[in-house]
Amino acid sequence: MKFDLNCKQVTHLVLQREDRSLSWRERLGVRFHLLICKACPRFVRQVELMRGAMGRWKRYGDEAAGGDAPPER
Amino acid sequence: MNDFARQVEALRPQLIRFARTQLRNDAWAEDAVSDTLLAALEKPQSFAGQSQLKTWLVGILKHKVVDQLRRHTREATLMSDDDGADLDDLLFAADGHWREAPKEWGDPEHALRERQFFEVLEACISHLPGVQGRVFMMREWLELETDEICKELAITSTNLWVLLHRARLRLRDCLQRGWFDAHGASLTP
Repeated sequence: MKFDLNCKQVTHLVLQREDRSLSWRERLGVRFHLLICKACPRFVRQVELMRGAMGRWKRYGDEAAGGDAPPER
Repeated sequence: MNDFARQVEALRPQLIRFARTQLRNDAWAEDAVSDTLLAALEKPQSFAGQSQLKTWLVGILKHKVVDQLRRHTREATLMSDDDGADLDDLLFAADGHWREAPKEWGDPEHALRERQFFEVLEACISHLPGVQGRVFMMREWLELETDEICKELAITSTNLWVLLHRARLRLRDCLQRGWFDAHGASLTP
């Protein structure tokens, strides 16, 4: 069984995790890599921040009425 | 014009903005919004006031936007050179290691409470190459599942995964340059 993924493979999986659930093998591979890598955990935090930002951006647009308008261009 | 019509009309610019960000084509966006406003004005009784007017209109708009994508599938999936460009080789060495490690973005709340950050985010989404931008928005804004996006746009799932991957890497790169280079970890103790 191959759990030793490199950073490029891990970033692919971390991004796909936004759009599908990973298999247990993929999850294990990612988790293992994140324990031994200093760079990739930062990438994971960036992706999480982007997820939060998209959620809030969307709600701005869907819910904000009148006064609390979304950022205008 | 009655009061309801005036309120609906007043929201047109915001609807146009959303439609443009999703469709990446001004004419399609105009059509989607016109269809939305017509539908709203035809049956104002279905807006019972229990939800905010804008939420209701955006809900209709999402359907009209999908109609436009169906109508223009071929053009909507026409890949530009930009769509085909891959960031992976810039980011990773041949052995799969980062060429340059990702930067620390700091506490998310620092960025997410700034209105300006969302202006940068929206600009970054708008600057995604056309097809990347459309599939990214279908996923994030229309909240379609990946197999639904493949079906609507008649693209293979392999294609879709590549497009979503590139879109998210580009967005990250754009946020790094457009926001975090100036506002990043320096704000975090």
